[in-house]
Amino acid sequence: MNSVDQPSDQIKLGDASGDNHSILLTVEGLTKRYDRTLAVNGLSFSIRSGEIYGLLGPNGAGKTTTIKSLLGMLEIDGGRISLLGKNPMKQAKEVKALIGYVAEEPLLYDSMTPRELFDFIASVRQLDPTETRSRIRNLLTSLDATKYYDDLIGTLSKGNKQKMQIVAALMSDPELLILDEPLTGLDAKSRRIVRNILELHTKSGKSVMLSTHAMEDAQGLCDRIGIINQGQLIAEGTLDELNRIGGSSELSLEQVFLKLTNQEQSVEDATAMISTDYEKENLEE
Amino acid sequence: MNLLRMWKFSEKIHTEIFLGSRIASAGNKKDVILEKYKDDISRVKSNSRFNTIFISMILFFPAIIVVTTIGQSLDLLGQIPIEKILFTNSLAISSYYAFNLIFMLLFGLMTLSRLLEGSVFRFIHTLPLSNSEIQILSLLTFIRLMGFQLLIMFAVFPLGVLYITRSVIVFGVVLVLNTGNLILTAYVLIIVVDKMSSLFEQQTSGFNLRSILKYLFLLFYTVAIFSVYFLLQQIVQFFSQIYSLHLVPEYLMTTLNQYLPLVPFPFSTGYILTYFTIGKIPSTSILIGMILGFVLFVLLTWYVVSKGNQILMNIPFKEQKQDVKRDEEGITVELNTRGPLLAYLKVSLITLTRNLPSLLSITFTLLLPLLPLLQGTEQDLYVNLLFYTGFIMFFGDSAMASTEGSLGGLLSSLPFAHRSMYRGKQIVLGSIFFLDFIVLNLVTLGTYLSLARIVVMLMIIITVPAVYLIMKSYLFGKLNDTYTLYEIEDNSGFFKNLILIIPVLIVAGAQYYGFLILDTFFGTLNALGLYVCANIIVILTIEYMIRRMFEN
Repeated sequence: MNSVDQPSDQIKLGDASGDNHSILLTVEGLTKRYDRTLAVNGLSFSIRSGEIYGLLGPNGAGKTTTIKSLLGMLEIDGGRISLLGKNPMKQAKEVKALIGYVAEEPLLYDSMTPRELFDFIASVRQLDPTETRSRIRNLLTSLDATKYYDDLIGTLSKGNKQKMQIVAALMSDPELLILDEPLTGLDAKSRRIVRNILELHTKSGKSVMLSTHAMEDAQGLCDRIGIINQGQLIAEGTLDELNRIGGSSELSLEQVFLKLTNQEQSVEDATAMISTDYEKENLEE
Repeated sequence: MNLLRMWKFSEKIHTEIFLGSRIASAGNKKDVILEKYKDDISRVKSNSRFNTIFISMILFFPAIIVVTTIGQSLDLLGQIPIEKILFTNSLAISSYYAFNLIFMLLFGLMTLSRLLEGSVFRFIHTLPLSNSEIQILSLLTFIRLMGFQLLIMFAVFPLGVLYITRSVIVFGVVLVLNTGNLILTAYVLIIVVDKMSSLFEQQTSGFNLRSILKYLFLLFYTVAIFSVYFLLQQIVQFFSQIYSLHLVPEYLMTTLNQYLPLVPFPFSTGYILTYFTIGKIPSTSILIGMILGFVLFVLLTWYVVSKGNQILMNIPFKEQKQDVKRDEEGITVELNTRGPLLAYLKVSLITLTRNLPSLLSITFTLLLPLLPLLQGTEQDLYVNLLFYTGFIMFFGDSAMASTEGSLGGLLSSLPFAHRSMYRGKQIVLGSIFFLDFIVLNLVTLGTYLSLARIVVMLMIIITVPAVYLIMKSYLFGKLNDTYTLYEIEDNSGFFKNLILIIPVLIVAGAQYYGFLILDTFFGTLNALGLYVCANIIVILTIEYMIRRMFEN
């Protein structure tokens, strides 16, 4: 176990490896390089069945690269990924059939209506029409989005596009739901509903992987959290465990995150720099 | 904010508009465009300048041609009746103004539509600027967008006339009337673009009058843009033959000279300019006609300018689009599932017809083989279709970019087999080729149609897209020890694209000329038998390769 003062090394608490039979996803030593940049550097973590796993990290930490690797959308340079024993590099189609994905930038066809899009997704995933129809209807109704069912997606607001993306990802009732900043653009009511949906999804034994910058979302939702920085997992555990790593049980997740990613000092420096300007302004007044 | 700072600020809006139009025309490949500009933002400006220079060059040539025509007519003064010189010169100048309007409509439409849409000003509203300052900004942005083209139209023709007449008075008159025409042209452009924007603004998924109008307009626009080169060629021919108009009966010219000056645009100013250039007039009635026509021209310009100004001033205050709220009752959630391949084909059809860049690419592939018809050539158009095979595949493939997106897009996140995508793309590209074949036969009234041609075309439709897709996947799509139809390597380069197209051309050529050779040696029927047998072997080989390359 490493100390907090050495954040580049991995700190793991509550590791899922002890409970091997319930592990849904295993990532071991994942490495991905873009030209000279090492985007992901030997990343290892696992997700259990029925849990919400949060992947937190600053911009450019390697979260999206990790997600794309899980979906078999990237050629990885090293490591191993296994989703229910399937390798996304070799069995991309089978792995994608188990995953529902909500991307940060909506992956939708602007020139189609939600009705046409859901038809398409149901056809590609070869879903049972009766069951899926009921799921879509319930999801659209709960998200107050039924009225946009026949509008072109390109004409919808960002929030409504996000709702459609969430319905598209959930309509197959996936084993693993991967969400990249899913609550962006949603109003307070819809955010609460989506949170509830995610909790219900995990209660049915399915898992959720949540990648976000929003600490309050992660704090309120995730069973376990992995903090990733410069392509490496620097800490992992439940909120309480992360607090312990942070050195105080009274720290918020944001404070723990800043501490572990060594960003506390830069926040203080930035605030000091700006406060100098404000002080100068006050003196002039 | 002073005017100079606003002028500098309008450059930012101008860049935003240009980048916006590039992204809009990129379909789902917008991330590739953004990535390109991210490394070097100055490329946006240099690309924008290149566009401006290209359009300006097109506007430059007609001005020079019409000046040359006027120069020739001045040499003929005293040799042919003044009535004829008045007629031909006025027609030349009027045609020049009409062509200016057409060119501005063609090239300014897409650029201006992004300004008139008003969305670029949404951020500006958050800044501490007054409404009048924002209005001035929109006007300055308009000048930045169209300014250089307008400057060419403003200066080249009057300077040319000054050069051939050496008269400051004539130059002054030309300058004033040219400016009037220029203002009218610019404001007509604003009004037309505004009308077109409102047609495109409300997107609909159904097949109604609005969408029919939209498709008709798009078709017309693509044909027009596509024909600009030939239009220019026609202008050159028109002006070079204008003196053959002297063969027009004199009584007809006299009648036309009486009535045409009354038409405010483009004839009234054309006649007045001619009068000042040649310094003579055949009759008082024509002079009165010119004066009346000019008054009408001024009134028309005043009306168009006031309408256009209302539009320009309202640009920054256009409301943001709102989601259309409907009554929830009456909408039934239903699913019509089908197999993945059929679903892919349906989505392709939807996105190809509703997505503007895709629709333009498809129209382009249909028009490409008809190029020789516009040139008036008598060559075999089937050979031409083969010659453009590579382009048809390339543009057809580009049109489908919005269906499949890039790796990391919706389709690549779904459990859709690469082999199904291959089959789908082959069917779509083959259908485009088939449509080309149909259009060609409709245009030529089936002049070249025969059983042999149908069989050869059928084999080309099957084999050429297959070769294109296999090569594309081999060159660009290797991922995790398998092949995909997504472009994995972004830095593909010119030579890789060349390597992609050459086998396509070879296969298309081999199919066509292979049959011709067989026909020469064995007669048509035997040749057809041999040809089909050979193709069965080719198709089986292709099928074997596809099964090896793409996972199911």
